[in-house]
Amino acid sequence: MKNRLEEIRKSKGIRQEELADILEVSRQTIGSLENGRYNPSITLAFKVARYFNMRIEEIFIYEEETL
Amino acid sequence: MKNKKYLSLVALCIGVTTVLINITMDVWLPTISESFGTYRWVFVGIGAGLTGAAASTLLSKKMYKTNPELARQARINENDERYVQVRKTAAYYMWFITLFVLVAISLTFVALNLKIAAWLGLGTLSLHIVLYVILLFKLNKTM
Repeated sequence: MKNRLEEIRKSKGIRQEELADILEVSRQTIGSLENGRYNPSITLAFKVARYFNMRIEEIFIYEEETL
Repeated sequence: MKNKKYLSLVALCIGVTTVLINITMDVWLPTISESFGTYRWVFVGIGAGLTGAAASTLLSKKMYKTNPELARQARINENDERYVQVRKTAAYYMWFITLFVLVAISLTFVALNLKIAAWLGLGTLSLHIVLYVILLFKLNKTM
């Protein structure tokens, strides 16, 4: 799953540490999310979306796997 | 929370007492100490383990009490969903690794014709698999 987290975070001028602090996760988790190494739980996805005042699908882009 | 603190205190007392009794017996009553044979090292191990675990729990509790930010960071690290996932994945792989280790140990005992040890190894292996299956059923019902 792709996401626009890094782009949105940078546009708001927030550092990874700050976002991690607000969402109550580790900075490494924010890094992994931005790199696409880790897909968030639905709870964390909602937390991120609510924080940026956006819809989940505006931040996290679900792409069906093609065989 | 308070119960955990008391539990840690009790564990610390038991641990320290066990280690102290062993040291005292070694120094002043070596004949009694030797009569326990190798079993006394099991008690020393348990005592040292209890002391370490309880002392670290109590020390971290004290540190968290004086430094709320440190406590908050520790809570975040403990509950961080990615790290929880990492721990679960590591435990899952560890189950398979333990399985192969137990198979290797059991086969080694069989090859060495150590029957009791081989049966113990096979028993542990069976228990390892049975408990896994029980957990699968239980979690399948609750999740």
